Amino acid sequence: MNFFWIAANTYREGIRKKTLIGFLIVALLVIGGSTFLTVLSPGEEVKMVKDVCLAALSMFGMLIAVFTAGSMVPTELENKTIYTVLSKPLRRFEYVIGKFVGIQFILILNLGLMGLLSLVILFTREHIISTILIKSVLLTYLELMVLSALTFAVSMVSSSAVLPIISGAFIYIIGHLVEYLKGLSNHAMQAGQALIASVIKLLYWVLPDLNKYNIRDQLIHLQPNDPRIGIIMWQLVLYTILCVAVGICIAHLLFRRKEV
Amino acid sequence: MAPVIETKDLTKIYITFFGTQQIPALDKVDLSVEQGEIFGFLGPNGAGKTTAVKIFLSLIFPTSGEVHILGQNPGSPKVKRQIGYLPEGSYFPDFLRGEEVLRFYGQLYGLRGKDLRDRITATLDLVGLQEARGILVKYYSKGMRQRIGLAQALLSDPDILILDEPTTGLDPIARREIRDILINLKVERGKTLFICSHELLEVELMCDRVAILDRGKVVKSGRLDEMVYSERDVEIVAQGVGEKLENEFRGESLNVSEAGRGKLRIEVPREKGVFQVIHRLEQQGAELVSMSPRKQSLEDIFLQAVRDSAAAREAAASAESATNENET
Repeated sequence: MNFFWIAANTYREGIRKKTLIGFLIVALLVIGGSTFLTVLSPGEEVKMVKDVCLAALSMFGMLIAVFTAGSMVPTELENKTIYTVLSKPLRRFEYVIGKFVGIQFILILNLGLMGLLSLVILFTREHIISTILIKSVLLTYLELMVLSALTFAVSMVSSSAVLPIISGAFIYIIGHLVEYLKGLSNHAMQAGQALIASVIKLLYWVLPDLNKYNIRDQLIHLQPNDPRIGIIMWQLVLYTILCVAVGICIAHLLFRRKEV
Repeated sequence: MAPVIETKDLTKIYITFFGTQQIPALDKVDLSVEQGEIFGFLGPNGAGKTTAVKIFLSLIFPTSGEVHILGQNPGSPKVKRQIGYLPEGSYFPDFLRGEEVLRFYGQLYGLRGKDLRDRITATLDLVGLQEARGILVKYYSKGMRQRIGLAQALLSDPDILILDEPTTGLDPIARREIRDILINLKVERGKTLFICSHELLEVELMCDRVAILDRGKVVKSGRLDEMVYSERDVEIVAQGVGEKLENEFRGESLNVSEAGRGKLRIEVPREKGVFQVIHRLEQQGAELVSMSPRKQSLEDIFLQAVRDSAAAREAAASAESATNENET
């Protein structure tokens, strides 16, 4: 049960952190401003609003996920507040789970607010509640959940927030290029660069394929030959659970005997 | 009764990231802290005090040796439930208010509802922070941080209190208040206190037993009262001591100093024969004003222990280099 108090405190830290509040305010301004950008694409105003809202959700969601997951534990190590927390009757596993759950609370709050504003703006244009947008926000959250789990795992080896935040951004970028890695590995092999080919292949196997979550565009723009969305969504939920479980297990193994 | 905190051959060696360097922090430390006592853990900076405390709390892990808290493994939540810990520097989440800090830590101890609220109020009263309970910790002064730190350590009414520099940063009044609280915890509630401190005067006023650590080794330990009296000199104050006798005493390596108004203070080590000195004073017609055991201060004992340890290290190093030279 102690993990819940750690999660609640992590959430409280997140909503009181100026940097995170700053990210959220800018994101809301961008989403709110999307309505003014419609003058740039006459006749496609709704599509323009959807594109800007989704891009803002994805970009600021990524920044909040990487920043939060990468900094929570290293900041506690840097500030030495972890001493008093871990000296309490608390298992290290509970601490890890609590921190991760708290990070998810922060992500849900931020994405929820961004999604809600997007929904309101779309409602003013279309006069319907866009369930497609809701699904799209859910997919963004699943993607960020995977990203935050892996960034969180990296943060367990670092006593400073810089390395995990950079790693998180790296995972996000490469995670979207995973399909290219396979081809790149084959090219390297053909060019006789066996070592480089192996490294790229390893990245291909280890990193999550974040492009899987890119059916958001299909959801929003409704392509005619799309596969059944419901099935893909469930597959993605399972894929997310698997990636998150791996991330948390790595985090636990790294933190179990970490000297603080 | 089994010791509350017990270590056997406790050794900690820090190894650098690439494993190229080994930094010994604790070297076969044996400690035994009994229930209901205030134990002072002293040592210069870098002696290994905080390393030992971190091992007691499972924040770090020993390289070898054993640690038992209440006869059990220090890492278990059951043991930690019995420990209140005040870290040096009192680091607390600065996005929380004083009251929220206590609520958070109280929740981790399993306290809930009215019990938790009552304890928070009582503890804030005890440390004198009732009026500042709603202020963010980042706006607290150093003294207030120390008080909130003590409050969170006391919140769950633990049996063992591990306090790292509990009076640092406090003004004399607050220092006295905190000292009284700590002594009361021992006297009235039978708590065991393990105090790491540089404030030797505070330790001397509070502790039953002390251990002095230097470069990871316990160089002196024992009951404080036995320590300060066991190596005592007798201090004799006499009037009308002639110059000849004074020079004789100085010639015999006795510590002689002016005590004002023509009086002389003579420090006589036990083995020199106190009554012999008194007899000689009488023979010379000097008047005996007072005679009392000279109590050593903890500071004297601490400095002497650290110097002896340094001298022993130097002697060992020279012996080793001499052996090496002979071998070559």
